[in-house]
Amino acid sequence: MNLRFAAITVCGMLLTAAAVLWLFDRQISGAWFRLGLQPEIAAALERSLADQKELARLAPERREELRSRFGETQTLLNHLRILEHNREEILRRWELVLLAAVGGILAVAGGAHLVRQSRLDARIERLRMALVALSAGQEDLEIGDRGRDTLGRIAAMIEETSRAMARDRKRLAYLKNLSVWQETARRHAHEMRTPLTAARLELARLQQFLEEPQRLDEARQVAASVGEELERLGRFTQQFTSFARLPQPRLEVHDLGRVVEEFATTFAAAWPNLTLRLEPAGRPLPVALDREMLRQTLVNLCDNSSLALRAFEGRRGTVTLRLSEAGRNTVLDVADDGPGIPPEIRSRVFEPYVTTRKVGEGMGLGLAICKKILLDHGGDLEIRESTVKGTTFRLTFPHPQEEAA
Amino acid sequence: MRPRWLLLLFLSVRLDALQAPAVEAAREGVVLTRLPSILTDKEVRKHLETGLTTSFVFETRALGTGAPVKGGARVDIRYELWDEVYIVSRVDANGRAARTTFPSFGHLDQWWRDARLAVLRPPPPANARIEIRLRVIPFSQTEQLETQRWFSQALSGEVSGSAGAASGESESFGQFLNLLIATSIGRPALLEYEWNLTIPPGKKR
Repeated sequence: MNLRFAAITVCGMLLTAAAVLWLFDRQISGAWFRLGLQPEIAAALERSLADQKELARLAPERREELRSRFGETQTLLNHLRILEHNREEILRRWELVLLAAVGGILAVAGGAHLVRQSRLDARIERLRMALVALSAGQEDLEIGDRGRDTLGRIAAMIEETSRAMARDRKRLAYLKNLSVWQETARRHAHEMRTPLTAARLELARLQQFLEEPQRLDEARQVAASVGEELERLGRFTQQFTSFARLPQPRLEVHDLGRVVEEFATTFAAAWPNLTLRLEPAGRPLPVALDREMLRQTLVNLCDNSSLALRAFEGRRGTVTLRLSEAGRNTVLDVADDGPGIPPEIRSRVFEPYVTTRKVGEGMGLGLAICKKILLDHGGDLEIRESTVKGTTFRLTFPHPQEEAA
Repeated sequence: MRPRWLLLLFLSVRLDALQAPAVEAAREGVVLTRLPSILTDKEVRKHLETGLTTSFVFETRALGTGAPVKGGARVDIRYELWDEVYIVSRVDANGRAARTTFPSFGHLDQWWRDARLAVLRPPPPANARIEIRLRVIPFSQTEQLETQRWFSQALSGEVSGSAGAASGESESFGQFLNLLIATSIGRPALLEYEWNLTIPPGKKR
């Protein structure tokens, strides 16, 4: 509750109560009391007593009746005199009663306000928790606030929003899934159709050559070509197999610097348009890793850099392998000076079948496989930076003890 | 509201103005004689003529006799407006009650000056000190209760003892409030006096 607002409210209530109390006491109850005790009334009653006695003297036959009236008038006069005698005490008691009544009303009003405020706070807290759950992606929220006031309407809107979001999320997931499958089917169809078409044409030629024995050498060449196309189809299916049956890494603790250095030495001439440059950490970096899988990852990253540079005006470039420690993790940054990843696919490059290459030049599975390998190491693979001056991928490895834990 | 210090100042002034009664030890106890001439006081005289019962309450306490011995007496005077007579009722420390009627204020005043009022029994030893307090109460307890009842009915809006339109809990609460206010009607003293006197040696009468 806002304390300043509560203090202003309480002060306002007290001032209003004091004003009402004063007005009621002075202008209403006090005024009536003063009116009842006007000296003129007592004087009139005294004159009435004197008149009744005089009347009784003049009309003796009505003496008893007049005496009775005299007694009644005198009693009334006595009451007024006694009240006059207690005027101050009566007014004081009346003020106390008024004060107690106003105090009671204020206490009840304050209590009711506090109860209402605490209920409001509880409802607001429920709304806040619902919003937290909504932001966390929880679907079909049930807040259970059926109030007809603003908060109740807000609760209903949050519930409706969560239902709408759930519908949209399912629809989006379905469409995304459908899109992935469509892209997959398109790539598969192309990857399979190209060698199959080539093989069919070559087989037709082979049949023609077999009918002409003098062209046996050409027939052999065609048969070899068919074999190449089928080999290409085999490599394609092998990629699927490696993605689908990616084994778990066999982790052993190695010095990451040494492993990367060996890679840089071994693959120094593997990519004609690439120069591999090593920036060591200057101290051993023990990491639990699968050497073969790490090599596969680095090869894939360098392949991508090489292909990107080749597509970018066919120029040469450098891939820098930079080792360091970041917090409790060991980090390997793989940075090239290529054209960078297009922004429109930057957030999706680790998804399967996402690639900038034309159909037939790659399946878009490489980075997805690399990401999976690093995740299986308990680490991660992320894009640290990607601009028109180059891209840096960061491979993160946990500390060996933490990985063991 | 009348400040309390004004009342005290007023009382101290009145204390100086009123002659103390005489005290003597007698067979019936400590007796007050030559009662202070309070009846002729302008305010008391005026009040006596209103027809309300004015009570003169004497409270006594003997000091210097071990445990304080307390006593008292009361004189109620009511002016009967119709018959124009003063009706006096007195009760002394011995429990003796008497009722007398006086045809005029002169007779009443004379009776007052001659009155002997036993205020303490048994008599304390000679030369004991006695503390006497006189309170002039402007009306009797009966008149007070009747006025409280009448005032409560008037606040409730009842006419001739019949209930008003209100009923149920609101009526009960209203009656409670009215009773609360009506009970503020008390019997504060109109005047108060105090004397400290020494009891002279007793003389057998």
